[in-house]
Amino acid sequence: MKVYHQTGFRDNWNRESYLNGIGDGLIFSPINIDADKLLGFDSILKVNSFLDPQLYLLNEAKGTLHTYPYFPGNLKPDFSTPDLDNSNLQIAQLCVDYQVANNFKYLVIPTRYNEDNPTSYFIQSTEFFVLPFCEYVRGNNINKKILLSVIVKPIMLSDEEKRNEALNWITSHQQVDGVYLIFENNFNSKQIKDFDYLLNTLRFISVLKENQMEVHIGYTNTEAILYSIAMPDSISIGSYENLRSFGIKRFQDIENSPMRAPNARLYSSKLFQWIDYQYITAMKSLLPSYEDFFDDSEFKPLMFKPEFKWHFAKPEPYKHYFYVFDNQIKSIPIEQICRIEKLKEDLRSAITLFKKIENVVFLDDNSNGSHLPTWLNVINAYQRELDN
Amino acid sequence: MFNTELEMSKLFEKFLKVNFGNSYLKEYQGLFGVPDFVFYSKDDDEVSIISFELKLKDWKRAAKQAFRYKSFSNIAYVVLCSKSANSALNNIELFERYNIGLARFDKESEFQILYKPALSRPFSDTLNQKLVNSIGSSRKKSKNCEMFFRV
Repeated sequence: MKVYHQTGFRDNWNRESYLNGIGDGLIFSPINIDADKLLGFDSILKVNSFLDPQLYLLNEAKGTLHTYPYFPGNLKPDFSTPDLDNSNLQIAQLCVDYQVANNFKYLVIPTRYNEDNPTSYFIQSTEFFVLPFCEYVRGNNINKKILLSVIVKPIMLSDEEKRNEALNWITSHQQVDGVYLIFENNFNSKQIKDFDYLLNTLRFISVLKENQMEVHIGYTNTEAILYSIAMPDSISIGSYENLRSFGIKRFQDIENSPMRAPNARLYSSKLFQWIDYQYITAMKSLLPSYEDFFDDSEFKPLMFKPEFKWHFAKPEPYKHYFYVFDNQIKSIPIEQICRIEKLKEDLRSAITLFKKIENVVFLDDNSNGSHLPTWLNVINAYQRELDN
Repeated sequence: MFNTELEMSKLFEKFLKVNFGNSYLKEYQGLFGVPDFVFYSKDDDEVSIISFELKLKDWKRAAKQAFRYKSFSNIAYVVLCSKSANSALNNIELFERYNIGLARFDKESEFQILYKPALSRPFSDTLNQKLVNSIGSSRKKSKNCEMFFRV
């Protein structure tokens, strides 16, 4: 299973890590990288990578999105949905041409975001994006694999009819080789603890794999390792929280909206959790071997020095995470059944470690292991379905 | 019974002033969590910090918040209305384990300590110093603060 860097703000951290051998490619973010700058990047950064076209909102020129030739606002000011009737072919051409010019590994068909998808959503998506994109690729003999971007809304997981409708649509395009899945995350907690949501996600991925599609999952956090048991082709790693959880706010040009800086956190592969650094200070006071709960990396010695000034915008905790999580993903067994058993064993071990910590440190629900029993239950339920 | 936490907070503030002095900060931000009250006591160069989290319900959430305050405080207390205090009392071992104070406070300004924690060093020197610096040269006087902790 591959690991892609979901890039965004401070994409240089991802690029530097990738050039140091961490991850298998990058998913580039137009709102954060000027189109010409991306064209100028060394091909080594792009040949195993792909673009997230980010046409989620047609009218939002967030960040550098307007520098991309396929951005609808460049074709017509105040571009709106009815304009897609006349402009879909042109957008497809410009979008394909730009991706081809960068020589990415995959060509990615854009998708739109709706608060609530209209009943015609899939028909429109086929008409406005899939068909013109695929026809242009075929007509120009472009020999690259095509990925279809799909935002999976929670209702598309929980409602069986909607789930089947989405799966039928995704698997109905002959020219499409795979899917770039984006699971919309509306949860308040930092880890996903919803049994049904997680089990349905595994089922969703499984159906796509049964249909011989490549499955690339973007915007994943720690749950990516849980998704690995459904055998996707890749998951993603990202620095800031909005790159590890998809929400449309990131693509909206909201000025003067109040922003609260999160506390810095450190990921531990032994705990499957990002721990608020203030708890690490408490652990240091109360647990003699507190450092053992955290993985070694070239960044760890610096972060554990007393004078290290923790801040959510510092690179070390994220680069540490890229290194640790990439290793964690790369160490999972190739065979599905072995992968499941190994993950169950590791989760049980994490639960035991949390008991040791919580004997003396009272962690809150975003730093403790409260997601782990749910994950174990999800794995057991999924395993039972595989056995039947 | 208090109708709101605001009502509880106003009465508790009055209670603090009358019985322990006016050396406190209210809802001080920028630490690890936002304690309802941070009470301080100066003894020469030594500053002792006692943080309070007031709640009408959800004692466990309050205890988690109070544990955070131990990052910058010598003592952290959960203060509950009588009804919630009874639920918390059934789980007193949790307060003992984490050395978090537990008290009951009601509308008649009756304050009863249910678990008195031991004085301990804050986990984070940086956060503690930040708070001490903001208290700075305050001349506000405290009294009776020894009743909040075991020596």
